[in-house]
Amino acid sequence: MPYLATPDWKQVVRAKWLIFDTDAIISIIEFKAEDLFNSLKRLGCTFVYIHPVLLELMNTDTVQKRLQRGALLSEHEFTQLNITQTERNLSNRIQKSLPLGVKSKPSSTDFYLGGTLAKYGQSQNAVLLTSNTKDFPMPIFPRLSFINLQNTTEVKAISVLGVDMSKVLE
Amino acid sequence: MNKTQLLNKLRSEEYILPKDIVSEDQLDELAHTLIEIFNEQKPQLESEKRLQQNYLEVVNYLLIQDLNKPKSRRHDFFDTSFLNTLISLPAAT
Repeated sequence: MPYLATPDWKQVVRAKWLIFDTDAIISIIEFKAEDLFNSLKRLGCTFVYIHPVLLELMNTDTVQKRLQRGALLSEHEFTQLNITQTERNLSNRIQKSLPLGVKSKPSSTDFYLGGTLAKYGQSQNAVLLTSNTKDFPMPIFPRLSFINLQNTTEVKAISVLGVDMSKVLE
Repeated sequence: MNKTQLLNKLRSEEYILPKDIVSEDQLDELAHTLIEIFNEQKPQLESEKRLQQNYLEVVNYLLIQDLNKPKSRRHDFFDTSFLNTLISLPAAT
C-alpha cells in the first residue's frame, strides 16, 4: 500500500516492551525529544536494548556525547537483553529470508535486533523502534505505527515495527 | 585507590582501563570519590582537557556497568542533576 493509515502510536505501544535501535535513540536526542521517554513510560512501556546497540551508541567522537547517551539509558531505566543462541538462530533465519533485491545492507546489529524482536515479539508483546526502515523490510517487519519527531525545519519518523515470522524461512 | 591517587591517574593516563581503577566491590567507593573530586576540582575539570575527558569516561563507565545489571541490583551512582551538570560542562581545550 503506497500510502499509510496507521493507528495512533500510543495505542500500538501501550504496555509493550520497546526494543530500541541505535538511530531511534540518537534521533530522539537530536530532536531534543527526550520527554518522549516519559510519555512512553506513562503508557506502561518497558525500554530494552541489546549490547550491540550500546556499542554503537558509545561509538561517537566525544566523551560528552557518550556520557549523554549513557546517562539517558540510565535515567530512563533501560534494560539490556542478552543475545543467546535463540536470537542468533532467529537472526540467521531472518537474514536468509530477506526479499531479493532489497537495497540495503543490514548490519549484524540489525539482524540481532530482528532476532530479539522475533524472540520477544509474542511472549512479551515487544515491538522495535527504528528510524531506518531500509534495514527492516516488509513483509517480514510490518510497520505498525509511526512516532513523528519534529523541529522547526525537519520531521523524522520513528517506525514502530512488528515481525511476521510466517514470512521467515524455517 | 584514594582520592589523590585517582586524581593523579585521571590527569596522567591517556587511557584508563577499568581494571586499573576499580574492582566490582569498589564501585560505590569510586562513585563517591568522583563526586568529591567534582566538588573540589570543578575549575580544573572545566579547564584541563585530559582530566575532564578521563573523568567523564570513568563516570560513563560506571553508568554502563550499572546498566548491565538487573534493575533490582543497580547502584544508581549519580543523580540526574549531577549527570546533566557533567554533560553541560564546557569542553576543555
